Amino acid sequence: MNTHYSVEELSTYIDGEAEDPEQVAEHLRSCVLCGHLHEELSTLSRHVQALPSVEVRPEFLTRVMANVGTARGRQRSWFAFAGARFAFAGSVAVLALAAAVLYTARGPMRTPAPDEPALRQTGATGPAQGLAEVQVAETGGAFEDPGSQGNFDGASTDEMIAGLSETEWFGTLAADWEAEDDLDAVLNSMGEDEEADFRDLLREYAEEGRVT
Amino acid sequence: MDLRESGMSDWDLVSCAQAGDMDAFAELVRRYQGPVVQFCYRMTGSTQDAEEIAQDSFVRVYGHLRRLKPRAKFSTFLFGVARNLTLNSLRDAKRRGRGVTEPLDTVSYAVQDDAMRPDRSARQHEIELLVERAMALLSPEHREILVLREVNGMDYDAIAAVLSCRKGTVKSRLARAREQLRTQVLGLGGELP
Repeated sequence: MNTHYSVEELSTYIDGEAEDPEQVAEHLRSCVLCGHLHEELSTLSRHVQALPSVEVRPEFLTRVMANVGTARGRQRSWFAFAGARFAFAGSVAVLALAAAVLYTARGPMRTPAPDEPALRQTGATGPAQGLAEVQVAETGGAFEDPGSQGNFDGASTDEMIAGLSETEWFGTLAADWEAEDDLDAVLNSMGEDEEADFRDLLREYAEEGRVT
Repeated sequence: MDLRESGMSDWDLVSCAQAGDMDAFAELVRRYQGPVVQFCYRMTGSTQDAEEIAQDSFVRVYGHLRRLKPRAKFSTFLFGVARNLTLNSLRDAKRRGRGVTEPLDTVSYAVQDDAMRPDRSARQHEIELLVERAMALLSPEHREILVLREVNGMDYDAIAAVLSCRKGTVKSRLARAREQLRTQVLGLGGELP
């Protein structure tokens, strides 16, 4: 071999990762320049490996476990707090959203006559369609043109919401709400400590993302 | 059962810890506290910072314990967290204008070490200080790969996993780091054979 080995090739050789170590060894025996560079890099490598170790103090483990215990308790209380808060906020928002959609699409509900059928809803793909496909449950009968009013006749608000909540479009709306919830509103509603815990958690998630 | 002598793998311990066994997590800490503190110390140059970062790393890992799956080595995940926290700490220190890796701690440690080992030659001590000073002048990117390889003894695959890069990148970056270190040592008046 007429050319010399690069630092990368020698570095790989020093680490035992060269593709053809025999060939490198043979070259090093005959090439003064490469032999010298290899010796320098090997010496440096040995020097770094020989740097004194830092003793870990015995209390390190105790401190880690104490902090783990604290973090564990904090995480539990935060999730308990967050769970309750989000469940409540989510319920309120879903109810408000459902009511708003119904009101906008159908206008004010009238009181059903006692002999009018209850309502059942079948799979729908969009808000308009979802409302349009509300079917009369009584006979499992075919859909009748809802017209401007009357298709929710006979159903209580709870029944309407229950029916709507099963539709795909409603599920999408709910998911969007959860994903794009107004973070500032949530943060503003928290106390300082709660907000600090929440931000810590977000930071952890962000860091986890970088790690993985 | 003494977990230290049980021969349980890291992932066995993680599995126990996921089920709430704090002794299992303590054993993981015992296994890796030395290498992680060592890594952080060689990156920051401060024993206090190193211990704090290492401690934080274990706490973070514990926080993510339930989501850990044995896809790779546990140590890879742990060192990945320690590395991220170390780089964050170095960035913060830089923003605050604090010099990083000035080997003041190193001197005190070296002195302690010398006291314990009187046979250590002055020449050896001099070389250590020189190498430490040269390493402090490297970029964090070069320093971390040298530390993972030379101090923590990781192979190229493990380093690639910790740094989230390809093995080819490890080869080239490690070579550049060694070349930089050589330049710094020579620039500081050191002699290499």
